[in-house]
Amino acid sequence: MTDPTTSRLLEPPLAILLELTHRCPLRCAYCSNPLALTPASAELDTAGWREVLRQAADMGMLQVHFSGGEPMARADLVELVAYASELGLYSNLITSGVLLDAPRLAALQAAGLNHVQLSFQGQEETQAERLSGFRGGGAKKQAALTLVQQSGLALTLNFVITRSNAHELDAMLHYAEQHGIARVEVANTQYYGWGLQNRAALIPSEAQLDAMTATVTQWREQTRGRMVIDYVIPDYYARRPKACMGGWAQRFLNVMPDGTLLPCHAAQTLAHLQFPRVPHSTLAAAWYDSPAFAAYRGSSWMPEPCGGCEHKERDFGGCRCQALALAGSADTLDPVCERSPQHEQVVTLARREAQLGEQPYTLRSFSFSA
Amino acid sequence: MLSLSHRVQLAPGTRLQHDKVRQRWVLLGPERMLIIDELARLCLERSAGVSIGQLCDGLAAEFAAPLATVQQDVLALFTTMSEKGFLRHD
Repeated sequence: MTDPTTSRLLEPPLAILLELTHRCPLRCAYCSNPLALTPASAELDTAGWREVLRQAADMGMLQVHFSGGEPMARADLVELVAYASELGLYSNLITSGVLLDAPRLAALQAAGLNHVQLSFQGQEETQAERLSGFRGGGAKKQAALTLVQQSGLALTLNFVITRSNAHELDAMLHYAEQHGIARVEVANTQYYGWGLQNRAALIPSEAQLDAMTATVTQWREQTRGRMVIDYVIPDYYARRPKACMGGWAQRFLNVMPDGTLLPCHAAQTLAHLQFPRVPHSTLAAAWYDSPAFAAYRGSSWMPEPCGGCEHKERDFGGCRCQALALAGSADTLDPVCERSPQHEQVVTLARREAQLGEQPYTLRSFSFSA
Repeated sequence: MLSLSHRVQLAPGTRLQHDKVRQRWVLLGPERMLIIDELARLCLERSAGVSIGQLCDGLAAEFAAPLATVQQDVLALFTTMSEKGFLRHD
């Protein structure tokens, strides 16, 4: 199939992210899961997930991210990782680490797991517990880190940044360096799902963002060749939008716990689109043939000035979910872009919220109904 | 700074894989991939157990290429890969 806007052959996705479950011991206020969480009873069973993996490998996807919720809450995780290995997929476990113990890690490693990404909500325990709604996480994460390092598995530390822990960034990077960590993600929370709900409590100020950027720049310089630091910023203060997911339905496929197939984890907020679901649809049919995946692919959907913009091949018009959330329509400009008529309004909103000081969080829960 | 006396190896969590569907070789790592050409693959495959200098000597002889150019190119390639986290050196 050819992308009509570029005449290029449409390639299969490079990677698939499986939200195996929305269950999680943590209740993080920034969680990217949707407000309407999927109950355990609606999750795909083991055979269902195996079929997803098989189709992904068949299509030519190369990497699988086991995510959630907390993927370790699935009893069949080891079996799924083993099957991914058998299929030749590179596997990544995205975990909070609080359910990780030595036998499970050994089983995952024997199953061929390639990489572990361990999240941290802050160095300061009270703050981390307030953000995650989970007591005693610090000790459990430290134990998980030790286990993974002893196993020899490749490890990335993911430091979640909000306005309440941004001042800890230097301490976080010190912690990573002390432990000889080769890869770190400095991940400012993104405003989707629960994160959007809690934006007023999470968003950092521009001054904090400047300080973070300076800290990251300095650490990158002094750890060059030893530690790779990926840096994700909140884009509300940017002049150009982010190249969300490398373009809508260009590189990634996301599977929700119930088998719904999405171009990104937040796409279900675009209620006007009907997303396919396994087993009723195959992954290939969703990717190549479904109107929902085609809706914002390429540039033919773009309004002006996006359609004539010199950056359209670089940022792909930004994020459709953000356009809907902030500008009220998925078909208009991502208002983070300075060319959007709503840009000033968004920056002003961010600045105002960032000055609010410590705010209560709405922690994620299954009982919340949007 | 990477030099000719270093030996490199793939970093933990990195692997070289043939992408059958797209007919190309890739380095797969955590949340990243790098498409590599035939020459880069050759460099990686032959770097096992030898110094970068020895690797370059072999390549220069085999391809009848100026050694200085080969050394410059291979060091640049491996430096980029190292800074992206795909390679480690001793």
